[in-house]
Amino acid sequence: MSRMFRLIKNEFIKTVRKTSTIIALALVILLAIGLVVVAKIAQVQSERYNFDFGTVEDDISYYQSMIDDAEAHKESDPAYKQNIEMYQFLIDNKITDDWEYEAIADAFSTNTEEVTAEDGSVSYQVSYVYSDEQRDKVKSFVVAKDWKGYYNFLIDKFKAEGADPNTYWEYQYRVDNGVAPPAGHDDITNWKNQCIFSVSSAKQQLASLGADADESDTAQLKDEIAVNMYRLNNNCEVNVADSVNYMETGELNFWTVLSISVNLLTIVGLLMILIAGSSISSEFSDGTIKFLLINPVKRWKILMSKYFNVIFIGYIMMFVFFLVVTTLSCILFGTSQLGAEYITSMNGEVQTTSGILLILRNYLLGSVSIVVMATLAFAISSVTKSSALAICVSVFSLLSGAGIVAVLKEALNQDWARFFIFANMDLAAVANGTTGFAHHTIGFAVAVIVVHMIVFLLTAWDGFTKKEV
Amino acid sequence: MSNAALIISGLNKTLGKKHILHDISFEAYEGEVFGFLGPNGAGKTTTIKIIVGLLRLDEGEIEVGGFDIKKNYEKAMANIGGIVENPELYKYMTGRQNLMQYARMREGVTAERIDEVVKLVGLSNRIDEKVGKYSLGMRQRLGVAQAILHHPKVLILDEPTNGLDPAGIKELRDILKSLAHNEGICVLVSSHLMSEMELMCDRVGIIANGSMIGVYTVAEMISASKTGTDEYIYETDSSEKASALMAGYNFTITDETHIDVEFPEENASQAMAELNEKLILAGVKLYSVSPKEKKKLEDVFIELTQSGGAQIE
Repeated sequence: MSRMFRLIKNEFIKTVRKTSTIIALALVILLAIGLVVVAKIAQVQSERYNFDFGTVEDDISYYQSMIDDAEAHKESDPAYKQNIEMYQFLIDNKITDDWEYEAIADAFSTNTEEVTAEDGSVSYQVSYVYSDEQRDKVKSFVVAKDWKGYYNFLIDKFKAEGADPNTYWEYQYRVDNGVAPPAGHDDITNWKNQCIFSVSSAKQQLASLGADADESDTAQLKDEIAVNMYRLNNNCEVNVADSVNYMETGELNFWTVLSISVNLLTIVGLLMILIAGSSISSEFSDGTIKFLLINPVKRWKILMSKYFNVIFIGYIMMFVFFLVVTTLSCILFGTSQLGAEYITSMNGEVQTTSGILLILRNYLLGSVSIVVMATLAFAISSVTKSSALAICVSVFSLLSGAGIVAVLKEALNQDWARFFIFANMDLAAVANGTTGFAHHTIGFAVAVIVVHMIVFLLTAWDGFTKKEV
Repeated sequence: MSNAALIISGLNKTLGKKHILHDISFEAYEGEVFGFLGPNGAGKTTTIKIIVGLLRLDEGEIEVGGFDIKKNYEKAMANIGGIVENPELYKYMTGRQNLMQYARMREGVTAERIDEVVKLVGLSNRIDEKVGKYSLGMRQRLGVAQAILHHPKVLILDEPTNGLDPAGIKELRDILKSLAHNEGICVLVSSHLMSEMELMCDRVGIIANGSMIGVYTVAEMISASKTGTDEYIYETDSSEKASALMAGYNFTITDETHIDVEFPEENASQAMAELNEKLILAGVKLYSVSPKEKKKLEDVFIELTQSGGAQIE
């Protein structure tokens, strides 16, 4: 065993003393730094746009323009008086926040009735939806900035109308939990408000679908509610799942960077293939193979030490990449989100995983295809002594294998494509059932991978131990 | 003779369709420098590559230090050190780092042993430089250091003097001789130059066209080159006049002024003095008498290998 360890140490020293390895490692570090820095720049830019909303003065001048507009169209708008009254109230009380504006807008909303006189002439009867008493109440809530009072008033109103509790859930929740509605524009993007909006909108959709709605339509809404309620109840500011799905959610934070870094593992994989493809063939091209094989060590042991070293170096590079990305993200994005969870829901049941564990799991799953392709490069290099061929074939396979399978499956509808190694290397996709093949199980994928690895390694062994130097 | 360190018997090798080695058998002993001699393409390197495990052994047996190379590969190889073809080591590492690589692959090589062999091959001052900067001679020395690192019983060097300058060749020769004669190592050296073998080796095995022609001691080879006579070149003013006085001698007139004369080996000087006196007394102007070069070992070697039918296939 210690002999094997010494052989691997030899291979390790040979690899790290090569300038090409140092350059590869430097590229990995540069890639990691580049990713985090670009993400930070993008975040700073998007934040700057968020601050570009209007001021109180902008709102006031908008209200004034609406008053001018109403006066200009006195003839065509029968409710112009009520409108002017409303905007005047908004100006007088300098109302800009959302709930206050909405409350006033509701309080002053009107019904217009068409009245036909006996002589046939048509006139319009304008009346408020709210009673005068109700309107005064709302006005006083707004002036007192008493959102609780206003929401209680609304809840009572909905209850009196016998409305579905789902429709006024937001008011009930805010009152029960003392969560104030957004004040000022920044608060809209506050995570709690976002969660409440999501739940509220999902609940309202559920209510509109009715009780006898199709199971498949409601399942997604129920999952959305479950996830957001979990966040509200457990005070989870960040859901790592939103960062992982950054393409859909537009979320850009610490966890987005980490989950993008998983996708960039392919580039680290290319460098690993480079090392795997030249591990054996460089000994031949440098002429050093003769001095290597003249030693009192069986050839399969030398081959094994080379293979272990390639795998070891590959994982070191991936680990360095992960470490640099994580450390730099902690520095640039702060460590406050480190403890965040990956929150999803299946059939209304919430599942959570620690974010760091999820990213590590994705790194491990992502490393599978890289290791398989590095093994292929190793085998080709062992048989042909040509690093160029080994690297080309493996890189091509790594980059286009999934595409080839997709063409076979989607365009040509060939189900046997599932036996291809490329259809099985993305274990995360197999686990999530997104490979496109029916009944594609993890067990099947692992079996295909293991069979391929055995074939590759036997090929490498056959090529290396029988080679006449 | 002492113990056989390397025993080769019935070695056959086919590469593709070509039958390259035919029944090669020989033994090399501890404490001797064994020369493996043959023209280019005779099968020297192939034989050596089979011994050190670079080529597969198709047929035959090889025993190194008492271990069969097929049955006990690692133990047999632990008794072999060698350089095959060019001394190509890892150029991006220093000499010492290279030796450390080989030390880790063998048993019982300490840091002190590395210093010792480096000193032995005379590389102490340059050992911590990158091998990429070494001259061929220095790389050859490092190759030798690598080969003897683990105290092998058999040291195999394939054309070790290729590309070395005369001083380098002499130093290498001295190192190899001292390893064999002082440390009891069996040194096997291949070459296509008989003159080199003569200076270095105790015994010479000759191979031609894939077959062993024979194994000879260097003394045997030298006596094979003797013909029993010594030949001298006589330069006089007239070959005609001189030859008239040479009745009873075995001579050949080469041109008007030069005659080759043969004397029996046992009393050549005496016979020559008598002839000289005779010529001078007869008034022949004798300008010079010089020994004609002997038939060389090289010629013996060529004769031997050609009798084996050294045609290039």
